[in-house]
Amino acid sequence: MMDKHKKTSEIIIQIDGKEVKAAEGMTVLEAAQSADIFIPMLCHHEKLEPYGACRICTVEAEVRGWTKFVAACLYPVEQDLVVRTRSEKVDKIRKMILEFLLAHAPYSPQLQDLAQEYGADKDRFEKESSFCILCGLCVRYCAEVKKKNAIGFVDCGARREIRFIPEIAAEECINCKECFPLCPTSYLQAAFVLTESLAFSTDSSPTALKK
Amino acid sequence: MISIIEDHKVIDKIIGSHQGFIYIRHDTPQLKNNIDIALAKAEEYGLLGENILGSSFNFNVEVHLDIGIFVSGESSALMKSIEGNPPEPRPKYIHTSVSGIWGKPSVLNNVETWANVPLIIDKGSEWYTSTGTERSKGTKLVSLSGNIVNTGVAEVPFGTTVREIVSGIGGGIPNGKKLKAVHFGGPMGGSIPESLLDTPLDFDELAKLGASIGAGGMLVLDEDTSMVDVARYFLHFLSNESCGKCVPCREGIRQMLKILTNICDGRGREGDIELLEEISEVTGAASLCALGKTAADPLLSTLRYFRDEYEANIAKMKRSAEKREL
Repeated sequence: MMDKHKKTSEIIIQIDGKEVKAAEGMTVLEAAQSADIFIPMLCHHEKLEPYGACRICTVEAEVRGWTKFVAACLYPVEQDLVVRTRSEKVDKIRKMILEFLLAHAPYSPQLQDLAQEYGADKDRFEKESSFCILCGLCVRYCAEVKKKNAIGFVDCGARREIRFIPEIAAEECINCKECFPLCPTSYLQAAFVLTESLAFSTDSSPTALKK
Repeated sequence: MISIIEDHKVIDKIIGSHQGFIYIRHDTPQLKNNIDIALAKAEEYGLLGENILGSSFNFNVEVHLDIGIFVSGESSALMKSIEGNPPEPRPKYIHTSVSGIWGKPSVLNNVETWANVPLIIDKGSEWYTSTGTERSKGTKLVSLSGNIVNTGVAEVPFGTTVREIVSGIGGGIPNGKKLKAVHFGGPMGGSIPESLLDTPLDFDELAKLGASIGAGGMLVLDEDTSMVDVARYFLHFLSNESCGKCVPCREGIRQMLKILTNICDGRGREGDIELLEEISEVTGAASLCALGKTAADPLLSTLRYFRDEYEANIAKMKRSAEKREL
């Protein structure tokens, strides 16, 4: 989809005061990465379609005098776009997003590193032991790369969570587990082990296979 | 109903489409029945389907039920749901008029808007704009509910004052109670206090007061209402009705709801109001779709006009804590 829009026409944008050359169809994140400007991300992965859920890549974008906050992983570049990746408000947004997530996964190394950068307090909000930050990397990797859909989101709003689908997971996951290293917390493996022990039928469970 | 179908056809003739959708709530079977009857009649008269009135123009309308959560009404979520996908909004950096249902350009409007277009084509824009205010033309369907004698839907010319709607059409407040506030626009709308009741029904005038008309919902609240509880109620609703995809919306609503529940239950703390304002600023700026961006609007509007109620609730708690220490 992205490639279809990529034309040769060059677009000049400004990121943090630096002129950056970009091509039509590129996102702000791609343009920033090409110029070695760091924008943090949690739900983004180069093999997956941009998702825009964690919002940690939020930047300030100024177009024709209008300033708005956009997700860099999705926002398309356009001529004369001015991007600020570390304005006071951007830092404030990222700090609070981290504090929201640290209430779920206070010991995620990735979150801890970012928390240090943005001065986020892991104890600001009451802990909720869901451990998952719902970045969807596992769900989307399984759907988009592996095309198996062995794990999915269930429920909505505050009740949203990830769940392995036992029938598919019992067949597919044992020899794959490629999503495990993508998880920014340790929840994914825990969810898998739980599904395995509770819901895999005995003849397909790894212990049964060994017998 | 015919008006809506007619207009669907007009617009789709203009943009060259042959397929229309009417998207309605899943829990309104009567509405679905009525629409189905109207569609069948229209087809019977040759006003819908293939070769309409011998014009070689084909047009069909499909009725779709929502998925059962509030965010399904968000434009891109609605289109995803018609495609058969989960109703998760996508960012509007590319407009749905460019890429909508199945990636095709799609025109989306409220049925009320559609219903107006054939009237305007038939009777002219001058006729239509002769009713209303400088910037809000024509009439609006308002839905009256809450502490009011006559509940229901009424068509009101723009420019009618809120007071006229409440005491005239609505018949006033029951049980001899005084009016405290009118809440506009549902769970992402805002309230205005009794003192501003002479404001005319006008998109801009009400938006300036922090109360967007939205789809026309008017919730009338009497003197016994706790405005903190109103804000808590709407956030509780949204916490189950958002899709839960993006962090500022899902987690921001979760935390704001916790604080508001604490305040309502007499467990409010000093600094809670400031924290609510800080969270609402982040969810408002960083959320993916309009639901998250405006989720804090009822909270912000009640803080604007009824801040003393929040403060009183928190102070009451502080006093009783001090008493316990003594």
